[in-house]
Parts: sequence; structure tokens; C-alpha cells
Amino acid sequence: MTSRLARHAGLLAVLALACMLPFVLSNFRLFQFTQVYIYAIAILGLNMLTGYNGQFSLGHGAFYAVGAYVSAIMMDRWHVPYGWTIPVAGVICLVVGFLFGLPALRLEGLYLALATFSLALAVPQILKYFEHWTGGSQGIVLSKPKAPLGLPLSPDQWLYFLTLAVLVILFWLGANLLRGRVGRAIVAIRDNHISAEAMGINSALYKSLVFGVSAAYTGVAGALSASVIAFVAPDSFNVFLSITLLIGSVIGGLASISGAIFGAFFIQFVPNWAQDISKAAPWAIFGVFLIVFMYVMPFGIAGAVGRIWIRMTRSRVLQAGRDPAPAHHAHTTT
Amino acid sequence: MAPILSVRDLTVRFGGIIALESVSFDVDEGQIVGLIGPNGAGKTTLFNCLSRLYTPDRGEVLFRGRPVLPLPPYRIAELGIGRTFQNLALFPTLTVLQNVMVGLHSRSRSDFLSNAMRLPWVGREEARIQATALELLEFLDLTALAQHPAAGLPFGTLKRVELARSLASQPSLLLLDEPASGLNHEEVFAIGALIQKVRATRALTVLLVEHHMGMVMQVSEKVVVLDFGRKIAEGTPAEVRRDPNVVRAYLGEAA
Repeated sequence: MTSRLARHAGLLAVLALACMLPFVLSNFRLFQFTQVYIYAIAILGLNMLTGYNGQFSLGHGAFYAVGAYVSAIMMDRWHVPYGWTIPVAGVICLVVGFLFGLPALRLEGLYLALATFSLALAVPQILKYFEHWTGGSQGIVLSKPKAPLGLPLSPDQWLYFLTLAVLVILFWLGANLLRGRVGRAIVAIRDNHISAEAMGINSALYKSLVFGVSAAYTGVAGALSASVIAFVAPDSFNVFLSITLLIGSVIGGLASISGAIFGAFFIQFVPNWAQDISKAAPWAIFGVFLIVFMYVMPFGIAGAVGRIWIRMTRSRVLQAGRDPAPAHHAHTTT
Repeated sequence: MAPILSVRDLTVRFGGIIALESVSFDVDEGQIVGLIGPNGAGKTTLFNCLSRLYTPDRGEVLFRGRPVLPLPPYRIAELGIGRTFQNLALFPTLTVLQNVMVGLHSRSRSDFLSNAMRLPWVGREEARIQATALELLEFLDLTALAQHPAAGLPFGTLKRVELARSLASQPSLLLLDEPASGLNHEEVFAIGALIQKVRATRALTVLLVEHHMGMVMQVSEKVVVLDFGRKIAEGTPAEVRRDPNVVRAYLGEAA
């Protein structure tokens, strides 16, 4: 019980810190943090699918793109307020993801990875094809939304808070979903789908729904990015984006909620550091970072953090002369 | 009284190989029925038909008079048929408690939306699921391992975890696929006693596939013998033991 209290206190402290950042960071740094939160939402979506449910996706950039374009087109064509475009993008991606998930049921492992990869390849080109709506390869230029209700915030500060709020809501919903009856069923399907069915789990329906929810998260992230960057273009949503999200998911910790945030920091900042270290071969440096991270933290950053956390709370409990708390399996439940 | 389970004329072919040929038998309410036969006799194939992993080429399975074969595999648990697997089919990354809680899936209702919103009734359902699962762990002497991941526990313990999980859905018919396989001599008789205890305390009917002859003969009221996909004998353990067909199947042609 005390460990749970400590956890909640820790979460609140992190949230308080996050709320202070807009008043101490430069606009550019703030923009980077906003981007981290956007990635974190997308990666949580991918984690649900790949980490918790065991379905590989090399194509989540496609859902990110759909979310971004749904939002951008609604704002550009119909002047829908950006706030409304975000849930709409989520719902559309939910439906698209669910429908894609249905045929994907027949594919497993590497075959599913390839099918989703083809989605990532196709979507940027499809976007260019419907030039009338999407502005073709020129993309759509948007204006950054201003803070509502006369709040004394710059557009960047406002977007930071908006993104943070969406992140908190989606992480709360996601954590609830993953820790209850449905979450257990999602993991059970990954662990052994035959006995999951014998327990009464409709694994086809669950897998498609997880695909939908996963796509919805990633779509919301894409919609947020449209407003934050104030620009969408097909080439920002290429295959590399999909792979970047997968890297964030693995490095942060598959099947982990907090891992999505760690992974987002990694994919936002480590390429920049690599660039600082070597202008000539930043991707070589990035590759070294990747390998070192995987070697040192086989269960991702969240797994390593969870392990340290257990060690700390354990030693504290032992000092108090009580039995050690049962070890949570960090890489599945943190 | 009508039988709880009727297998009628069940036939399964894999390519040219006949795995089961016109097998029929009944299981009466409250019985422990043993299903035995040499390797490759079709015992597990029959089990997989009952839990809908295989679709037979011909025949019918009735559970309380209701046809089972038109149902998809995930609908079997809610009918009241539970099963365990020969080589264990637990969820290794889930804890022992969570494994048993998944066993209650067919006895709970909350869905994606209500789980995500954490509606008050979901909390109550979750508490009920957990309480029932903890009771089962207590019943099977697994309480101390509740928070341990299933991966890494000894085989004999995992067999009990799987039994707990299969009981979680409150089945009226329990299908046990070689519960004694991989266990040592003492564990085999412990699990035999456990099966009898489970049947007595939980008003269950048990259909048991087992290689371990001593255990089957000890716990079963009725034994069905398969050989090369056909039923060659059926009766009480004493009758089956004397049956010349059974002796031939197990020991080969008399010299």
C-alpha cells in the first residue's frame, strides 16, 4: 500500500514538474517536449498492440498520418476548430485500425509486420494522389491555434498544455484498460491464444479491437502534431516514422505504460545528440546508442527503472523488518 | 437421467489418416470417466473436438442435449466446459493469480469502454473476480505463489495452477488432458486424490485422458478405451481390465 502511495506521489511530482516547464524553457525546447508527449501517445498505442497483444506493426506511421491529415483537412477545408478535429481523428483511426485488424488476423509475426509495413509505404503516396484534398506533396499549411479564453499563454505554451492534458487522459484510460479484465485478456492472447480461447476470450474480436484502439492513440498523436507543427506533408510520414515509433516502443519497454514516455524521449533527443557528436555520421552514432541501450536494458528503460524501483522499495521494507514485497514483473506491468 | 455429455459417431481424418472413427460414448452427471488408449489412439484428438480446436468430419457432440460443434472455441467455457492441456498452456508472463483471474473471463462482462473508464461496477466485478480466484488458490494450496509469474514454477505446481484456472469458470464438466504426465510417483497419486476432492466439493463431472493406468483405474467410475481411433471397450475399471481387446491393444497379440 505504501509503495502505491509513493507511486501516486511520484506521478503527481512529475506532473507538477511538467506543468512548470513552459515557464522556464525556451520556445524551441518547449516545442521539443510537446513533440515528446505526442510521440509518447503514439508509442503507447503501439505498445498496446505490439507489446501487450503481440501483434507486430511496422506501419504505425500510417495511422499517425491519417490522424494528422484528418485534422488538417477538417481545419483547412471546413474551418473546424482544432479541438474537435482531435477526437474525430481518433475515431476515424479507430475504425480504420479495426478494419485493418480484421484481415490482419490471418497474419502472424513477421507476416503481419510486412503487411503493416506495406501500409506505411502506401499511405504517403495515397496522400499525394488525392491532391485536391491533401495539397499533394506541398502538404497543407495551417496556423497555430491561440490560447482560448484569453489565457496569458503563447501558442507554443498553450499547445504544450493541451498535449499534456490529452496525454494524461489517454494514459489514464490506457492504464485502466490494460490492468483490468480486458488487459489480462489482451496479454493472455499474446502468451497463448489457444488457451485464451479456451478461457472464453474471443481472440479475433479482441485483436481487432486492440488494433483499433492502438490506431486511435496513434491517430490522436498525429492530429496533435498537425496543430503543433502547423503543417502536414506526406513526406513527414514516411516509413522512417513507423520504424522510429517501433524503436521508441522497444527502447522504452514493450508492454509497459511508462515505457512509452521513456521511448518518446529517446526518439526525440537521441538523434539530436548523435548529430552533436558527429555531423558526418549521426546515424552510426544513433545505432551505437540503440545497441548499447538494448544490451544494458533488455526490458527497455521502463524495465530497468522498474528493477531499480523494486530494489529501492525492497531495501526500505527490509530495513523496516518486514517481508519483502512481492516482485512485480517490471517488464509487463510497470 | 440424460447424460451431461454425449459423443455420437465422431470421425476425424487428417489427410488419409483416420484419427477417430465413429466413436460414441456418454458421460453421466457426476461421474469421473477415464479415456485411455495407447499412444496415437486419438484421445487428444477427441479432446480437441470437445473444446472445438478441431472440427470433426462427421458426428455430433451434445452437452446437456445441446450441440457443441456449431459453436466457436471461445463459446465453450461459458457453456460450462473447462479444460486443462497436456503440455500446460498457461500464460507465462502473467502471475499465478492473474492466470486464474483470466479463467473467470467467461463469468464476467466488462468490456473495453467500461474498463478504460473504470466505471464503478467494473471495480466491483474486478473485486469479485479477484476474490473467487484467491479462493481457488487457497483451495489448491497456491496462495503463497499468487504474485509469482507462472514462468519458472515447477511443473507439478503449474499443473495445479492450470487446474485452478480451469475451475475458475465454474465448469460443470471438466476435461483433463493427462493431468499426471510429467509428474513423479507421489505427485501422480496426489493429483488423483485432488481430482476426486474437486469432483466431490464442486459438483463436477470429469472426463480424464490419462496414460497412467494406475491413476485412471483408481479414480474413474467408467473407462472408455480407444485404439487406432476406434472405441474398443467401455465399462467399469474392473471390466475393462479383463477385456481381451484391451489386453491385446496394450500388450500386443498374445504369443
